[in-house]
Amino acid sequence: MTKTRIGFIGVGGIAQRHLGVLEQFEDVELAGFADVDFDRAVDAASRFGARAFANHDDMLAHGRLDAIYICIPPFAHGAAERAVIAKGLPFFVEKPISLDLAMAEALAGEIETAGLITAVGYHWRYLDTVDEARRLLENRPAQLLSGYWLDQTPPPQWWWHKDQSGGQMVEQTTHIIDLARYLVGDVTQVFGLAGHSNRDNYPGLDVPTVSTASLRFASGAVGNIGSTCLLNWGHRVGLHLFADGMALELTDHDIMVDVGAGRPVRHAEGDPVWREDRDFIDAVRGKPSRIRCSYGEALKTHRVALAINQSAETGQAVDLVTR
Amino acid sequence: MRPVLVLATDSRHPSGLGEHMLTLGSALSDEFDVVIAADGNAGGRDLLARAAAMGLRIKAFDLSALNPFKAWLRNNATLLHVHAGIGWEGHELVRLGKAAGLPTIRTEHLPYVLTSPVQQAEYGALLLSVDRVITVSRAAYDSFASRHGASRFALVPNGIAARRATTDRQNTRSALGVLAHEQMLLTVARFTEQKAYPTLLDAVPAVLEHQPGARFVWVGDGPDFTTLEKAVRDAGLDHAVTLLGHRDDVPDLLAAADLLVSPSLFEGLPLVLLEAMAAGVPVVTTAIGGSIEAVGEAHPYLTAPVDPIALASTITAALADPDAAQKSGEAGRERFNQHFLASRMAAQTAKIYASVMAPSSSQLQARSA
Repeated sequence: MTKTRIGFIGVGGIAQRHLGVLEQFEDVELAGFADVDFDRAVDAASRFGARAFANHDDMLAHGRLDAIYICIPPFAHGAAERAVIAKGLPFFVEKPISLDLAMAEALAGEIETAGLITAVGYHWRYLDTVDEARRLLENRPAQLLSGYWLDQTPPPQWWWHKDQSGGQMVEQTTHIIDLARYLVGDVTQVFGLAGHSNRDNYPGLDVPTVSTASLRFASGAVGNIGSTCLLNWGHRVGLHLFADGMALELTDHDIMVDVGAGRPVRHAEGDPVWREDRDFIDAVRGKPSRIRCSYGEALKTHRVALAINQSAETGQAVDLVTR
Repeated sequence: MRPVLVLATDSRHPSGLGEHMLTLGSALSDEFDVVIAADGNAGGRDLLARAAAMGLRIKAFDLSALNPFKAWLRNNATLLHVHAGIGWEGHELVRLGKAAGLPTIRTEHLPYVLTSPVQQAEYGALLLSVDRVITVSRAAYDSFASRHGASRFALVPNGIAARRATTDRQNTRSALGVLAHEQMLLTVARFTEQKAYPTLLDAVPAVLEHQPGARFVWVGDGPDFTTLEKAVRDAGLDHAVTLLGHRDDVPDLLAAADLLVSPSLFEGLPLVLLEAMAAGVPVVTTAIGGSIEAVGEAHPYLTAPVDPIALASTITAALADPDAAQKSGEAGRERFNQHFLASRMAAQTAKIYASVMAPSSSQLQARSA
């Protein structure tokens, strides 16, 4: 069996999540690791008998790779994608796809022109509970949404700075925005509000510590999503949806369906990241694509997240053109 | 697809041995998909990083839990080549290779120095599960073959890829505080009993008596470093002796040196002598097996081991006649180019691989068929 040779650009925390999955695939060879922290590349390469590189250009030039995983922080996007596109390689990229919307738009155009297979790590789309919600909403569309990302402040220092992470709405709550789009459809208008308070243990923290967004969907549905990083633990991440005679509550590990007969909760089964990685690898290997979130699709979610930030800064609602 | 060749060591301090693995791996990269494997928790980590920087594949294992490495070998490797710093190292890795169903080769980087009957018996048992044992010098080959018979042993003298200096001789000397009229005597060896630094220290006063401009520069790390450093101070010789610790710029240090001194008690085929020869630096060395093979029996600056007086007088002789020393250095360079190139070592090693690999996994055999 010919193995699909994968190279990683960026070998931090989220890359480890994918490595834990990909190492189980018999048709995948983890062949190259590039990281600006060469020691980290060496650690990953030495785990898999692979090659380590201090930069992605060297890896792309010498790695003989079939596909790339780009797992770098929000502020670092651009050069890696361009180099991979120039090489004509399919790639998986972690969200958020960049902080610079114009650059993401340009990259989406280049991907389109090159006809590349892409996937973006909005893995909630792969929850079996989300499949169930989609089935339930098919004939009874959601008309009101209430989303949450109520959490601690993540430890990496880049996350604390808006110019590096984009803030919580762009870096974390984007999963909820994407889930809302996946279940309800395109967003046409947003209005954002944000507030900030300092946290002693997070010197230099400048992202909003509370933020909220009102959204209008093309379907006519309306909703609100609230975020905070003021807690010292994970409190709630999820999306509640309300349709005619039905309320759904989704978290990243269960679903509650309320049709007036109690509040039954079902736990999610399987690993959504496993499914997400499997679909990407299958598409790269020439099978019909079942990828649920391409770069172009992720860009639509990203536009919403950035528009919420923009609205919070200007105090004006932002209309989104659906394309 | 190229056969996957795994060069592995469990040595805790793979310094010269590690260099050898990298040289071999690099020289074989066209014919083989080379993986350097070492203990990721110990001194092997540095070797892996160096291998990665050279563009080689790397694989870490955990010596206290080797089963995952065995599974990895079984699924990924065509051939395992274990490198042992000393006779009692590398047994587990050899057994692992055979258990994973791989042709398994072993290189002994030192002569046979096992004295404990238990270790000797274990070595005999090890030979049952290894396809071929490579020795790195004639003397080392004889020391093994005379005890265990010639059938499993092969001789592939060490070779190196000569590394060029990256900075000017004068810059390096200035950085070390060596003045223009002084002579720099370089020793590159781990601070262990085998390398006999105390003998060299004992020789220093006698050298200074005749050559007050002699400046000794000792490079390496190892368990005896601190003791030696103190001994130098206690002897009031710190104006003439500098201990540098581990250095990655040995080619630059060689370019700055007037003489390389090797006082070792025993050696396989010491790479630093080959490096000095490649750089045209004259060499003073103890007359021991592998070192004689490196410099040749007619070498003018051979001296008896553990004999500080003889060592001092050989060093003094070399320093007293710089023209003769320079000629010796040039002869060393010629000898190096004739006998000790990495390409020759790699070609001989590849022939041994071909002899133990199944025909289907050996491109070398397929090519010659």
